[in-house]
Amino acid sequence: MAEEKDLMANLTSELRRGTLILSVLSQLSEAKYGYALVQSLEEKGVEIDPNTLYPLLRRLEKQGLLSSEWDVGESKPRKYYRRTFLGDDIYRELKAQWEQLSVNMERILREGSI
Amino acid sequence: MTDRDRELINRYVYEVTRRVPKEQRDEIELELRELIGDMLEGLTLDQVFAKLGDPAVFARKYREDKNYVISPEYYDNYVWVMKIVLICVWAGLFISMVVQCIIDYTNIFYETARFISGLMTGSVGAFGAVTLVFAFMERQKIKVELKKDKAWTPDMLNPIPAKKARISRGDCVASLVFIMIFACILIFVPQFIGACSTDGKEVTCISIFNMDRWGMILPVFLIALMAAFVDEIIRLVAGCYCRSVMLSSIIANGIQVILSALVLKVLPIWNPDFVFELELNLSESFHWKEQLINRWNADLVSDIILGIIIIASAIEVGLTVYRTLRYGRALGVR
Repeated sequence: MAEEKDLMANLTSELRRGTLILSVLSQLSEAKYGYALVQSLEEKGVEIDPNTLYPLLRRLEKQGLLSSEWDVGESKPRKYYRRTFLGDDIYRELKAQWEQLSVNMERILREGSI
Repeated sequence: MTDRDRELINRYVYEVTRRVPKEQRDEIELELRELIGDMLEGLTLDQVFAKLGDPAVFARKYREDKNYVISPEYYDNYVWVMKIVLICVWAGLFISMVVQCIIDYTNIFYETARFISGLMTGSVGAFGAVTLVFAFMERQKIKVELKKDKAWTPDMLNPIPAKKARISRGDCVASLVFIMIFACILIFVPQFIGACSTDGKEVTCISIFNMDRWGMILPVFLIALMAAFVDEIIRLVAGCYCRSVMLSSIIANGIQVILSALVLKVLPIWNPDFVFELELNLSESFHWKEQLINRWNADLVSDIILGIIIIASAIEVGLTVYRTLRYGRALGVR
């Protein structure tokens, strides 16, 4: 039973992993700081661990999809991320891919329904 | 926030940042402090730490480096070679133990203990050696692949090697087994290479090698065997005659010839008292004793063995070069 649970947890996290980048990109048309992003995703039912998100944000920045800026004006310094132009393009493409994927998946799953 | 909380946060941040590359350390520290500060607005410190998890895991996600020694690409061959090597080591140790016990059965307990400790050190050593060789090949290959950053096309499919260009796995395994057994004998029971006689009770062995200087000679033998070993593994992985097999064959055989010359002509490999001890120990009934003693000439033996090694190496390199040029293919080129 415990093994089945582990397996399920593994498979679920694998399934979600592929959607993380798209979820993150979708939220960053306006600048947001890391934890605000965690919370806004959580409100929409997408859970992401901070220890996954923060490294991911850095990676996306390195790849040129996001840009960041430290805001030191407020009481504590915060790093704000937003999509770059390249990020916008990639997001559009990924979104189209996702829509196609979800249409196909729906059809496949309907055929294979138990 | 209490001082203790502050101290715990400092510790957590330190545990993460000490594991990330230096140039990113300062910024990651700022990010972490921002994150923990934000989380503390709605959660207790314990909950925050529970959510963030092990700092080592957190740091690993920041590093995003490869966390393996042997990649899946090499893994099959790695496991396969590992099995063979371990089996050879165990078999070699076992055989040497059995031989020792037969020769001197009063020491069975001691030999068994030595066998068990040999099993442990031998297995660890073999495991390390194979892993090192593969990790090295892995890193080299990565460099090569990084250089040619081309997309794969069907044009890159190499023709299936002609039958004659294939290197049989069986041959490689046989060579590997032979190398390992030979190495085990040289390491564990070199004194038995020579003349052995028995008077019904005890076995007397007169080693042909110079046991007093063995500590100096053995490493040279082992380096030569290691070269042969790496060469065989490269053959095994390549699976057919190609440029890398040819190069490795030339280098490995070159090393072996040079080391053989060193061992046979420079180092005092032969037991200087071989003939004398033979005369003392061999029974008169040994009918070609006289001839052996009269004709024993260490220099001549050295020359003959060196000659055989040079000819054998030349034949092997020659065959490899011939087969590579005739049937084989240059790496990645049609």
